[in-house]
Amino acid sequence: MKIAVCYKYVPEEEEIRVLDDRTLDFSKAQWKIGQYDLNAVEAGMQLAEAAGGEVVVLTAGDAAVDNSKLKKSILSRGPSMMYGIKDAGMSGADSSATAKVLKAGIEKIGDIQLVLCGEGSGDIYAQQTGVMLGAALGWPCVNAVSSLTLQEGRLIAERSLEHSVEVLEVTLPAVISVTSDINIPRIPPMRDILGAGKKPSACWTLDEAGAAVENGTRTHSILAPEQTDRRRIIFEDDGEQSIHALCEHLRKII
Amino acid sequence: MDFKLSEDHVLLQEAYRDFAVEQVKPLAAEIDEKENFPLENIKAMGELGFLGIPVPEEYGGAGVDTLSYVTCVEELSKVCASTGVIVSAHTSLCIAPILEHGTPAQKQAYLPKLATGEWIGAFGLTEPGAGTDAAMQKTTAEDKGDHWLLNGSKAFITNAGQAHVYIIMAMTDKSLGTKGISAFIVEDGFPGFKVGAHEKKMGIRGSSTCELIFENCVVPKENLLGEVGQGFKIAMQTLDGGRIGIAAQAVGIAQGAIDETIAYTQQRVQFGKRISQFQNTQFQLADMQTRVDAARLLVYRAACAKDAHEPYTHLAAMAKLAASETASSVTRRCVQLFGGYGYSREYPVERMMRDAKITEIYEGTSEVQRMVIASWMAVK
Repeated sequence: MKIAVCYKYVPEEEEIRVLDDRTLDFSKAQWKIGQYDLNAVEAGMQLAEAAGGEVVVLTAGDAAVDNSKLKKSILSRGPSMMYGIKDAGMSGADSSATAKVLKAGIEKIGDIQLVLCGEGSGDIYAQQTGVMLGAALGWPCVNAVSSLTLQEGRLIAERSLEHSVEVLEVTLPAVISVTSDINIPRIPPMRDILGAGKKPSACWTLDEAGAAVENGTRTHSILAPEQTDRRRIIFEDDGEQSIHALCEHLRKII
Repeated sequence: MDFKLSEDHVLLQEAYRDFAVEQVKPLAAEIDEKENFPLENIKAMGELGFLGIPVPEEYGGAGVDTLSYVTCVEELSKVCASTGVIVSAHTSLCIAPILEHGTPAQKQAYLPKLATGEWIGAFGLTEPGAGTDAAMQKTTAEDKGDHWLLNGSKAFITNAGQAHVYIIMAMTDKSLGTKGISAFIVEDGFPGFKVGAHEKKMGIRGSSTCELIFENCVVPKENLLGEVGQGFKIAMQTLDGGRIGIAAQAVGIAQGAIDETIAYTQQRVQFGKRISQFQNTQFQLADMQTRVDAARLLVYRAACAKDAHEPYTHLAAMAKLAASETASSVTRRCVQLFGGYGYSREYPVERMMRDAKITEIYEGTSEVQRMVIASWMAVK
């Protein structure tokens, strides 16, 4: 089975600065692989190791796509090949546009039976791209998957819902978005880190992939929430009066 | 001059850091408190390749340079100095002399097991009466024709009791002084070899430190390391490399303490302000980070010189002197910034302060480093 894991380069959260006007300064933030996408890569590797098969990775983005260190970083986690679609316009791509570009990538790679995505991107976390990619490909898609096994050519996917666990049997090909509960991504052994640079990769333009960036949404502004000091209103004991006072207070502020 | 780590160095450093934060940090307080040797993590590090960093691939190691090894010890020591010294003693003091002076058969016999962590390594030079004055070796090795017979004892041996293989210095000819010392590879289980009392230490309590006892210990002929009489030279060369590892440990301890202190001072409120907002806190942290960065550069310089096969004895001594004194000073100041909580085991900085002190003592005290540096400067 050939599995493709989609992933996104996101800015390192700790290095994003909030400026006085609440806008975000990304200039000092380095790129990294989205943390939820690492769960998807690990899920792919575990499936391939258990059932046989090959894992490749696919990303679409701008300058970071062919960054050699990031390429080695993703390949050190086990995939046999990395595919990238690079275009300056991808930096503003919304979930729908990204899903369409990824669809073109999946089709160009060819012969993919399973696509895995992280539950959401490490930056925007809209949780849309996986399901939109499934819709674009016309394949079954399941999100919020916290366990994934392969039994006789069918996927058994568990979704942990609020009060129950849903177990679904999914036919292939399919697109699955996994949660961070599904596994703990492995730390790559040194030999895999050192060998990652020898693995193949391909970087396509939008034209080569046969895709275009077509956003369905517009971003007006992105601002950090206003910082307010904690009020430090404390209701100390658990007597009737205090509980009443707490409820009253909550009613007032809600 | 280029102060940047290469792409592969950074990727490896990220792996060391991820392992340290995810698997070493959660156990650090407990292994210190209970004096537990972290066997599970040693096994995991063996699988990841951290225990065979300089070992060539043909012997099952990662085959990478000293600079990468240094960043490994540093990242581990940021969260747990005990784990840092276990890796440092194993790599610098046992693997390195076998790599440097071992016969092909010795390399084949020991390096694959050491590189994967199946075996842990240690080194025995110090004796109860031979510390800084290491030439005063009392342990003897007698040539019995088809084997060597070792008698004597060693003190303060890191990894003792957990290690499977020890590089041991012993006097083969007292009349020759330091030129009468030879090096041997001793396996745990050789007849007449015993691990003695376990030291109760101030810091690095998760690492095992014991005495070693040799009572008519039978060592096969082929386990002589290098030539007869080369032992002191081998020991001194080994310690040159080891000092880079300990210096990296010291940089790690100091950086770990600063990182903890930044996080703490940004949430601790006194006089209606976060204490990180006080200029005293900011200036102290700025001074500490500057000293740590300076020490780190000395450590990396020594590592690069070793990798380039340039003379590095004095560079390793400077790195260890600066880094260990920085670690002691920085951790003490961090405890002060934490105030009462810094003195409590609720926070890690008191452990870091206890751990830091040993870096000024083992693998050559700060005074020995000054002797080495002054001698290189030809000051007489």
